[in-house]
Amino acid sequence: MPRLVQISQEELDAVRRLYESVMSYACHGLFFREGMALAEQALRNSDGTDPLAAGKSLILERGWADDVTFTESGARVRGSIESASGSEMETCHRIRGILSKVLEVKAKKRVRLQEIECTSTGGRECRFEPEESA
Amino acid sequence: MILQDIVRALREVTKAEAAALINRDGAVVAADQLPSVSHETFSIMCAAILGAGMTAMTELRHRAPRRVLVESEDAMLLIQEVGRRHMVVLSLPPGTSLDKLDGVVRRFSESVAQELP
Repeated sequence: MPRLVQISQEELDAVRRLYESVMSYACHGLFFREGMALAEQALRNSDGTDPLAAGKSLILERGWADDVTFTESGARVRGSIESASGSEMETCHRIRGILSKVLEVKAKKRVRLQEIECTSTGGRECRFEPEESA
Repeated sequence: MILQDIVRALREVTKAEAAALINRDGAVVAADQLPSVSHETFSIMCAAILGAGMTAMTELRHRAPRRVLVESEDAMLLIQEVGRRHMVVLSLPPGTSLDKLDGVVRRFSESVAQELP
């Protein structure tokens, strides 16, 4: 049984702000890559489960969000733990990474999602769609 | 002209070994002749270098830099802002004149601005 550590939403937000204060927006790319790494690990341990089901399971069971719905091209997320009210821009970078990786494995082609709506910036939910340049 | 062509033209005009257009989150938008390293890792590093440079300058109460230059004995890496959301990265021969690059990069920025959403 792997050891786990708990981290609160406030702590996660403090980590994000710390990294932003050091390396500006570049940390968002790193958080995104963290999400991809988490998804890779989950998929490796999923014993052939459908990638989208494995990704959803990772997100819900580990508490990254309250619900995930995959759409035709992307995903919608409710209750993201990466959400931080009053932010100037989208904040759910790790979840974006997780979703990108599982969609990529499912589609068998490169997928890079962008967050086009985020509760951090006043959206009703967090919505992710493929980048045009991906 | 698509972004890939614009980046290739920039690399050829500047005689750069490699060129890339990167967004401020560190994702590659277009690249030409980037070596076979992980593009995403390289681009995040470049975004981090410029981002850290901005933070360092503003900590010292100076204005944010438009560009960062990384020099070694055999190469020069130029990371320069392109608009508010992107940057261009050029891997150049050592001793390349920055004065000569200024006009080229400015024209590149104008071309890119027309293509980006």
